[in-house]
Amino acid sequence: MRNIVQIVTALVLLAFPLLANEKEIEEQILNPPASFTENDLHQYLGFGAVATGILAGTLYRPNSGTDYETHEKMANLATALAVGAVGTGLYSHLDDLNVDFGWRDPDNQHIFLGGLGALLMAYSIAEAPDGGHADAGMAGVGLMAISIKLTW
Amino acid sequence: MRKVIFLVVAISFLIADDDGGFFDLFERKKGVEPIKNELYSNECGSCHFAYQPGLLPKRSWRKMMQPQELEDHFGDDAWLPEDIRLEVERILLEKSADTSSYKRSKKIMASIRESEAPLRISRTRYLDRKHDEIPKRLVVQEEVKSFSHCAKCHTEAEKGIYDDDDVDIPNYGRWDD
Ligand code: HEC
Ligand code: HEC
Repeated sequence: MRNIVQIVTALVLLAFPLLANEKEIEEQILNPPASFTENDLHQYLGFGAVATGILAGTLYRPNSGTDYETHEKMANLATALAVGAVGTGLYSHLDDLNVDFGWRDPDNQHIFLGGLGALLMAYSIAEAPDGGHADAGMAGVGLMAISIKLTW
Repeated sequence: MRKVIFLVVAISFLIADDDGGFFDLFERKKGVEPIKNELYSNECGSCHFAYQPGLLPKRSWRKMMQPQELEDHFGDDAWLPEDIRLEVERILLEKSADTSSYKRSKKIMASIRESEAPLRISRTRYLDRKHDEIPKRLVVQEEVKSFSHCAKCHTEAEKGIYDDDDVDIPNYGRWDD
C-alpha cells in the first residue's frame, strides 16, 4: 500500500510542470488564491445557525420520543452559531453598514434582520422550555434565512 | 400546522424578490449581472473593461449615450453610428442597476440620490467608500491607471463578481482587510 502511495505521489510531482505552465506556477506562488477567508467563516456560521436551527425545531416533537435534551443542545448550538455569525459580521463587514443609504441598501437589511434573528434565537433559549419560546425560535431562524438570502 | 404556515411564509419571502421562479432561489446574485454581448463588448470594451449595465441606473446611461456626450466621453471620442448607438443604449437600459435584483446594483442605487445621474461608477458614494483605504500609488501606477479599470484589480470582474476576496492588485497582490 505504501509503495503505491509513493509511486502516485512521485508521478504527480513529475507531472506537475506539465500540468501547469511556468507562468501559472509563478502566479500561484506569488499570489496563492484566497483560501478560507473571513467572509467564508461568516457565511458558514450563518448557514450553520439556520441548518441547526431548523433541525432543532423540526426533529423535536413533544410526544414523539425525540428527547428534549437533544432538542436543547441543538438549539443552544444554533444560537451560538448565530451569535458567531453576527460577531464575525460586525468584525469584518461593519463598513457595509451605511445608515445614510437607508432601508433600500441590501446590506442594511441583512444586518438588521440577521441581528434581530439572532436576538430572537437567544430569547428563545432563554425562555425555554416555557410556551412561546418555539415561536421566537422559529421567527429567529426564519429571519436569519431571509437575511442570508438578501445578500446571497 | 403553525410550522407549515411559517415555512410557506418564509419561502414566499425568499422567492418574492426574484423573477425567475424556484431555481432562482439558489442562484447567487451577490455581484452584478454579467453581460455577454458581442456588440457591446466590441463597442464599449475596447478602451476599457466592458462595464456591466447593472453598474449604473437608466438615467446615467441615457445621459452618457447622447450623441454629443459620446463625442466627448471623458475626453475621448466614443462616437457611434446611430443604429449601433441605439442598440448599445437598449442593451444598457435593459439591464441597468435600477432594474436589477443583484446585490451590488442595489448597493449602487441606494448610494446615489434620485436627482443624480452619475457618469462615473467609480465615483458613486458606494464605491468611493469601498475604495477609500487603497493607497493612491497603487491606483495611478502604470498597470492600473485609474479606478475606471475595474478588471485590473478585480480578477472576476468579467463575471460581474467584485467580492473583496477576489481582489489582486498589480504590484501588491491580494487584498486582506
Ligand atoms: C475611445 C475609447 C473609449 C470608448 C470606445 C468607450 N470609452 Fe468609456 N471611457 C473612456 C475613457 C478614457 C474613460 C475615462 C477612464 C479614466 O478616467 O481612467 C472612460 C470611462 C467610462 C466610464 C466611467 C468609468 C468609471 O470611472 O466609473 C463609463 C461608465 C464608460 N466609460 C462607459 C462606456 C460605454 C458604455 C462605452 C460604449 C458606448 C464606452 N465607455 C466606450 C474611453 C472610452
Ligand atoms: C486599484 C485596484 C482597484 C480598482 C481599479 C477597482 N477596485 Fe474595487 N476594490 C478594490 C479593493 C482593494 C477592494 C476591497 C476594499 C476593502 O474591502 O477595503 C475593492 C472593493 C470593491 C467592491 C466591494 C467588494 C466587497 O466585497 O465589499 C466593489 C463592489 C468594487 N470594488 C467594485 C469596483 C468597480 C465596479 C471598479 C471599476 C469601476 C473597481 N472596483 C475598481 C480595488 C480596486
